[in-house]
Amino acid sequence: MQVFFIRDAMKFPDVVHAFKPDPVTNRQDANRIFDFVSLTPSAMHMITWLFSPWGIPQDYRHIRGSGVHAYKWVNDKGEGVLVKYHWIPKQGEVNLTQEQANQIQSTNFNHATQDLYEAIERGDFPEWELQVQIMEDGEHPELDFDPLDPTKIWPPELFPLRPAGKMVLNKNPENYFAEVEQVAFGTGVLVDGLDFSDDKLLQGRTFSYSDTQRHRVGSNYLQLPINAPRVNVSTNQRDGQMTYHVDSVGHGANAHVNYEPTSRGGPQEVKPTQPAHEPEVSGRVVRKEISRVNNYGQAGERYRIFEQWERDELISNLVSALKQCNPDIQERMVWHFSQCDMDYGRRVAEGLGLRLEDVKPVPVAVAHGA
Amino acid sequence: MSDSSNGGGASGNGKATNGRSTSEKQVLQGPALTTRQGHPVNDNQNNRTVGDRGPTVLENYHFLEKISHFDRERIPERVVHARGAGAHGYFQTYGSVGDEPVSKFTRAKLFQQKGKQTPLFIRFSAVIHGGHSPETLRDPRGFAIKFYTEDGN
Repeated sequence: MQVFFIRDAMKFPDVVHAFKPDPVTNRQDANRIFDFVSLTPSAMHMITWLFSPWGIPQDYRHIRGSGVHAYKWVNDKGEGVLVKYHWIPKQGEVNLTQEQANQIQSTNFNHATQDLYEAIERGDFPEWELQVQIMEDGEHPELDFDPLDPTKIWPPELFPLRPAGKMVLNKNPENYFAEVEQVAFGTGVLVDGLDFSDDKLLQGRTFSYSDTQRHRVGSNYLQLPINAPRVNVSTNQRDGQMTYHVDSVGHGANAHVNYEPTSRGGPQEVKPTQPAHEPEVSGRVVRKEISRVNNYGQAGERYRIFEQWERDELISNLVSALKQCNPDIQERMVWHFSQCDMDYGRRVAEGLGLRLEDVKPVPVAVAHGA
Repeated sequence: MSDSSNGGGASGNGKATNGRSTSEKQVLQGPALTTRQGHPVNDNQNNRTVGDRGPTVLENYHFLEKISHFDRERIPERVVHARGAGAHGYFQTYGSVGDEPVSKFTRAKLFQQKGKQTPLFIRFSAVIHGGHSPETLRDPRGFAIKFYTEDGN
């Protein structure tokens, strides 16, 4: 998926709660999902992808990886550009219809894990090409969307995907728990030359991901072999549960020093050799949605770009989910789809036994940012 | 200290085959079974009890360590992306991005010098459901990569 449901990290727990099982019945419930979604128009683009065949990739080797957020690249002059990352599978992008997924699931609920492991074991190493979109930093008022909005795609005809390298997967984990379970990723962990954009969802995730690793794996999670950098690590962070070694002492630092500045052989600051990227920012401190929300444009465009069978799947999957929902929720969803594309709204309405003409608009005050 | 419940048969020399018949040795291969304390384990089938049908005794480090570790096998599940699979691999840079040298846009070392390889670990995942939920569900997928670069991860 190249986009997300929401654009402000404030909504992250809400969107996840809506999709998680009901806290009483412990079952995933379309009525809860579409209750939230029908009042969250920013989700229409993502919903259009999710209920199409793209919502069920065939397996892990045939999926595209998407950075979703705008990040930055910084050159040796300290100049930044906005970038978006795409990992294109050389195996091809292959998705499943609901019926195909049902067939697989009836006999195997680990098929994707099995496929990846077996491919690597037999030496059929999967590959992806990294392709990068580049945009000059700035607000880009000429675009009908905000480049920092993670619910939007950067149109590839305007911002071509430029190949930059390839990834090859050639070794399976030796132990699932030690590696796959304990590995700790973070959207906010970047090396020099890479930087953040002001995407508000990215900035919230930047805190959240490393925070959850400290809770989930433990405060010394970065000392585990799967997470540890393969270079000098010299900090004055000490102790905590499961301290395995003392950072810096193995690199020749004085073990008595766990503070800085010091003249007694503790870790010293590294002088930068290249200028920092120092964007200028000013404005009032507010709680305010971005001005160019354009919630429906790319959703409608995607509906029209899909092949006929993808569109048919999308309608069929939405109708079967929305049939489980209350009438007011169904009507709100139909109205949103009609704003994306009239045919889109009409087909979902027909599937639900509704007349598009009878569906009332969703007031802006009800649907946030409609 | 060795646990007395292990009796006196363990040599502690790291081989499990001592005292075994030739046919046993052919089947039962591998290093000596130990506790986390390094004690050789003589009996991993029967708990230590008062008589063969009597109550279990607490003086039994081997069992206490085994069961209490088992009780703690799981860590908190990821609140999202619990279901996943991972693999090791490498990233190989083209040294360029499209038709231009990559250094025009970024100084990040993993992208410089055409052909340079950086080791990585990737984890694919689904988002909403638990650790062994079906991999056929309608759900976004995660695609997380950790690069072990010369400037850190």
